[in-house]
Amino acid sequence: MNTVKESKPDRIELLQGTLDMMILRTLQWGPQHGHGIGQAIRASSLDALQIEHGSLYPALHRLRKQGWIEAEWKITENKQRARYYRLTERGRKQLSAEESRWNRMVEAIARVMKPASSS
Amino acid sequence: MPCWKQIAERYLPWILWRGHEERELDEEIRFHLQQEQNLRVERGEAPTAARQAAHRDFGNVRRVKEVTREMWSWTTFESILRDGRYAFRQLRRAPGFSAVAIATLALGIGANSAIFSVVDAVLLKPLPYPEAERLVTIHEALPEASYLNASWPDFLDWRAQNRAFDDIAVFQPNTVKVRENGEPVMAPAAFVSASLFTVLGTKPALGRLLSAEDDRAGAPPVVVVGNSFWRKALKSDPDLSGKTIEIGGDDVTVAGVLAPEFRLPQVEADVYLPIGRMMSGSESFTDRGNHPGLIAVARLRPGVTLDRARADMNTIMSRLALAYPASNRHETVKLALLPDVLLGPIRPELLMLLGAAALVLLLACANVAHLAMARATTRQREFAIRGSLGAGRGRLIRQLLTESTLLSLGGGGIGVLLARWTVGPLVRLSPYQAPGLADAHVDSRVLLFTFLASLTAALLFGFAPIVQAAYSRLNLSLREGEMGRAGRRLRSALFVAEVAIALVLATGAGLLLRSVSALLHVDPGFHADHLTALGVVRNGGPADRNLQYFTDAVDRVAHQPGVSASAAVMCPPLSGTCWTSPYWGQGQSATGNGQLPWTALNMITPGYFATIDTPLMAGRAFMDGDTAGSRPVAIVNQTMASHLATAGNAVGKLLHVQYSAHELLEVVGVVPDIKQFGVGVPVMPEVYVPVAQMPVNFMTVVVRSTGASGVAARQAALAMRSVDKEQPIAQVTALSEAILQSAGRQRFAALLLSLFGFVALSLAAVGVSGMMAYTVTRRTRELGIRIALGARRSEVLSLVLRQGVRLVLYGVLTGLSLAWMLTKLVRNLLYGVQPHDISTFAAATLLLAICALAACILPAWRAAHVDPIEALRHE
Repeated sequence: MNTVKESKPDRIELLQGTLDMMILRTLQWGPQHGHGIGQAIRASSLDALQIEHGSLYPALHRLRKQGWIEAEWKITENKQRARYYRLTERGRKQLSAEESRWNRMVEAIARVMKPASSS
Repeated sequence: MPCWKQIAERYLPWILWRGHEERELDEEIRFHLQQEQNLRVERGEAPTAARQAAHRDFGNVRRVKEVTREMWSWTTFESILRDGRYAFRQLRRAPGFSAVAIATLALGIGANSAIFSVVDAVLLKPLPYPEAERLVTIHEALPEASYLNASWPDFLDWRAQNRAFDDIAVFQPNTVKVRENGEPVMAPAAFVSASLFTVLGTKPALGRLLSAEDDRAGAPPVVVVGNSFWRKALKSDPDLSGKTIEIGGDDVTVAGVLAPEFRLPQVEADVYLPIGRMMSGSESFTDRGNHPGLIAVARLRPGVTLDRARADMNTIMSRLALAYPASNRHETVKLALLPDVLLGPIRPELLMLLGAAALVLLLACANVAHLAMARATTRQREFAIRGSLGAGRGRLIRQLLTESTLLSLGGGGIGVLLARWTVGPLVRLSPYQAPGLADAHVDSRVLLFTFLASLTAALLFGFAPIVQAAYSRLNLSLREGEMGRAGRRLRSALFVAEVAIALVLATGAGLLLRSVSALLHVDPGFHADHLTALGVVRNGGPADRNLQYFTDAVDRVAHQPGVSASAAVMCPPLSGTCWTSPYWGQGQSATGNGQLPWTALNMITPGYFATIDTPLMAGRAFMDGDTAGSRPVAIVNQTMASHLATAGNAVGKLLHVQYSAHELLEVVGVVPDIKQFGVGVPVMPEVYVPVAQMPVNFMTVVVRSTGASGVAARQAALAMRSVDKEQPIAQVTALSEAILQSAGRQRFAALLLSLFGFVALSLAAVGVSGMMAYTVTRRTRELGIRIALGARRSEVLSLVLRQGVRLVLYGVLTGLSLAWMLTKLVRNLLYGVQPHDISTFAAATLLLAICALAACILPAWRAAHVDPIEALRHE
């Protein structure tokens, strides 16, 4: 997709697959609807990751198709119908695999970027 | 159509579920936006601002939905529908383009569908016999006669001695007098061995077929009738018990009725009579050396190959050669698979025509490809906008292909209608005798073929605008009118291909037209105008009574007003029904049956040559004085005369003709060669004898009229009826019609190729002209500058023309080399002209070059008259 995007300097472009991992991570704390997931990611990254909320939905549907999360319609506290997503057992395994992969990568990058501190 | 139901069953739940899923996504996004707005309002933002911010934060809703949908694996079908709807709107917005494209494709696809209906009915559908691949035809041969029908005693021995076949059968095409609804008529008949129906695997529609008991001499007479005859003469009565029909004056019990689809190989028949009962006593059947027109078919035992059957039959034939050296010493048998015999000669011709139709479709595709390219260039802004709205390159390609497919299916739809209307005339015009041909029509198989042809066409022309666009940076360029180098190359290639294809078809058409002309200008040895032939078959009766009938009939007819002459002949010109016989001339030694040359043998009444307007070259015609009691005489054709007397006169020579009633004949006259087997078939030696000296029970009365031959034919038929009102006439032929028919294959191929060639030439002219005009329009600015800088109009004209001429030249060269290779395929159809006939190639090239250059002139002239000021303002 050759979408012409304006990128703001204070936003960090997400790597492919990173969003998936963050969604899974967020769902670790319990079922949540799309908007809630977006809020959680934004809050825990201290607003550094201003993801376009719309991009959550293709990711959610992709994860659902892969069987890592499940969806269910529930009523919110405000008595509104919302689709809640929940981590499956397979999703949990996937998350831990992604996490260890992520940690290895971060360590590796850190070693390259700050060689002195690693010694 | 059943497949629509399957598609619906398969996809409908998906579509329904789709709608459900779609609504859930809508609701989910609505909830998200609402939630975000609420959140912001709680933080103190104004509701409107909060709503806008929520939307901004979310991004493009439509795009999010689109991308999310693509996560659902089963989007293909739905997105095809969506693409289809969009494409339809796009095409409706360009009605001119769409109409021209669809019409062009309809021509190309329609031609293919029509020819394919015939190809499918004749070549692809199985023959109407179960396990037809096990059916074999058997005929005999001598060193001097490569095709002889089976002899009856040989057939009986084959049947008794072979180990290769389930069974062997023979049938003899014939004509019998049948009383139908009180009126005597001649009906096409087949005398068949009882084994025929088991060999062919035929089942009766009603009653029973023939048994071995029916086929014996002295058995009670029975007949099996064809389905159409049963409907016509027996009024479709399902109760056959005690039914009889009068055949040749006898009441014959109807044993059974055949199924409507049953047909004998190569022969039409209404009634089927047991041959053994009818003929086994007759002299022509007991004589082993005689070959009375018996066509033999056999069914191979399961697992037996044709080669093993050949070996088996060869063993039997060598046994017979030892036992009956007089007739069989040099005789051999030839076996061939029935499907090859029936379809072998037709297959290459039909496939050639299908190939020609495919070329027309290719040309149509090239034309539409160019149109689509031109259109895509002007649509670049639309693509750019769609691209910046998030449509990927793949998406745009799919869109273009969908539009192409829609156009192509539209063309295919109209093409099918064209095919429906043309298959009937096509079958009527076709000269072929093949089972299944009459049943050719547009059925589900033809529809499937058309569908596939349409898709192929869509791919062919649909990729042209994509290739062009791929190099002009499809989705980024917002400038209109950019034409990539690839686009220009492709355009030139299409130009060259169009000229080449049109040239190939024009050359093929030219060669066949010349063949037809050559065939129709062959001197047939007689004057066919105003000449009508009325065939008569006498069923039984003493020979002198039959002779008297023919003499009286000829005499009565000759005295009718409007008739200038009349005579009777056993084997009329172009009929191919002549008897043949070994012969040897006086003083030439008879070295045995196999080594002797063969001659056609014909019986005539005295006025024959005068009636058909063939002058004698030497000697005299037959006279009334040449009777049964007088000296046996013969008239020979020129070919025979040159065999008898290499120099000097053949008149007065003595001639032995083995199967003639009198073996030794004195030649009293010589006539020019007369075409007996077709205008394109070489003449064989022929001997004419007076029918008074060799009576036969079937003859053709030929009538020369002063006026229209149809009127004379009716008059003659009435006169003949007054001689014997119980004697029907089997068939009436205008001999000028027979001449046309004997060039039938060439005429059919020439007609279709000319039609295709004409369509191709028109399409190519339109296409070439369109491409040149397009190029000129694209170069308006450049040409304007050239003119403004002082280029003369003639220079601009030649600049543009030079490009056209170069491409025409490439096209002609490509076309000529293709034609050089392809015209060999029609070699078997050509008459009097070689596949590489230089003058035909030159004429086709000239015609094409003139058309192509004429198509270039107008755009070039327009280029030369570009107004520089207008041109520079153009952008």
